[in-house]
Amino acid sequence: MTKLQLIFSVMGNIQQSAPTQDGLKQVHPQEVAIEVSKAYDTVVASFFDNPQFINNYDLDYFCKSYDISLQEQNGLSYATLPVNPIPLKYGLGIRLVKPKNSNVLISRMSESEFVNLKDLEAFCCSPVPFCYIDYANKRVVLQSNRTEYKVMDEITVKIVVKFTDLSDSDVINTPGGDYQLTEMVMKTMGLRPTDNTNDDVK
Amino acid sequence: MTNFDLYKLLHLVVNKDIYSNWIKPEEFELELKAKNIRLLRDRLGLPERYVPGTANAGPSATSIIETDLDPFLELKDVTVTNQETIITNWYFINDFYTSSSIVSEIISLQELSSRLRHPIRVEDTKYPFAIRTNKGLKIWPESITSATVSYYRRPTDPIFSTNVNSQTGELEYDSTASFELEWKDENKLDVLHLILQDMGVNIERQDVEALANKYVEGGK
Repeated sequence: MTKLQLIFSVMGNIQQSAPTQDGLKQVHPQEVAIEVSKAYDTVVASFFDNPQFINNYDLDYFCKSYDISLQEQNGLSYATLPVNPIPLKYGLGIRLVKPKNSNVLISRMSESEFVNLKDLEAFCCSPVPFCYIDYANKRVVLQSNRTEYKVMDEITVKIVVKFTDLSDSDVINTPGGDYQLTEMVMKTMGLRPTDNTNDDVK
Repeated sequence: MTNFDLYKLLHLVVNKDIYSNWIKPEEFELELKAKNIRLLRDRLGLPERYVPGTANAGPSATSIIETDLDPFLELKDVTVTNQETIITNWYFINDFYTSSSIVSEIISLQELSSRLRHPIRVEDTKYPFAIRTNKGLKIWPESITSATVSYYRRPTDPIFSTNVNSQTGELEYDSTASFELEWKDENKLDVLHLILQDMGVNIERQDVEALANKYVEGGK
């Protein structure tokens, strides 16, 4: 189901559950999109709320992969994220950072760890490049001290994308299924999904 | 059913001969023109004082009424200049869409101020909105330059032209110079019923139809 189909599916459910509403005057797709967005980000956040999931690559199903060009600034390499990740615990919003044409994993750490470690002697000998996610500036910052890694000019990043940053035609995979999402939105709006439009028969 | 048939039927209803000058052909033509528009307003659920661009509420047309209005329905690609559509001969606009729209709305004038500053229902080519104006529609967002508009056009004014045969002295219908009502036959009877009502002839709509059937069966 694409993002747009999901929004209109929820919208259809809302209109069926409240048939007296005057169509678009009460339910507009842009408003439904906001509600679905809140529900989707919440469902994903609660689903990923487990530190063990960091190594569960089945969850890559809920990610989108992007190849991003690296830029240089003040001796640091960085790549601007094309979309916003969902702010998940344990940094799970960004599942993977690696050079585009290599399977060498770029080791992730926090910004403070990065700042502390980058000038240590031990860091110079590290066989892997390091990075941290600069959420405020929406970018991945990298530093590698081995020349072979400095030649990379593109990285691949897998991101659990915020609903609002997905395009209308992107296929949405909701943990727990789309119905849970619909139910959550409608519950928030004080409605219930209907499986029978023949409501007059009681 | 021609305008002349309606003229003869009117005389049949009031039990007068067409030579009685009970209503003159030029008066009948004026009545046809007036009731032609009045029936359209009536079918669209619009007030008597409606002029295009003044009503903001949409017509609550049932499917039967929509069928009645079929002859006047237009779906046309139009240019949008400075947010305003350029349409000719429109009477009531139903809906519009653009090549990039998913959902488009015609909102009321009272909604406009809040809509333009709405934090969620923001201007977006996927969700364009418009208000009705005296030129047709004014559409947001401003980037839209063309749209497809569904509207009812104004019916062409009927022309009722007759001659007197110089040989026989009979009143003859000039079908070449005349222009028929564009309504379907059953709605032409509605026009006639409106004329009769305004002339003070107390007759039910179904009785007009019964007389019309009798008139047709009798070979006109």
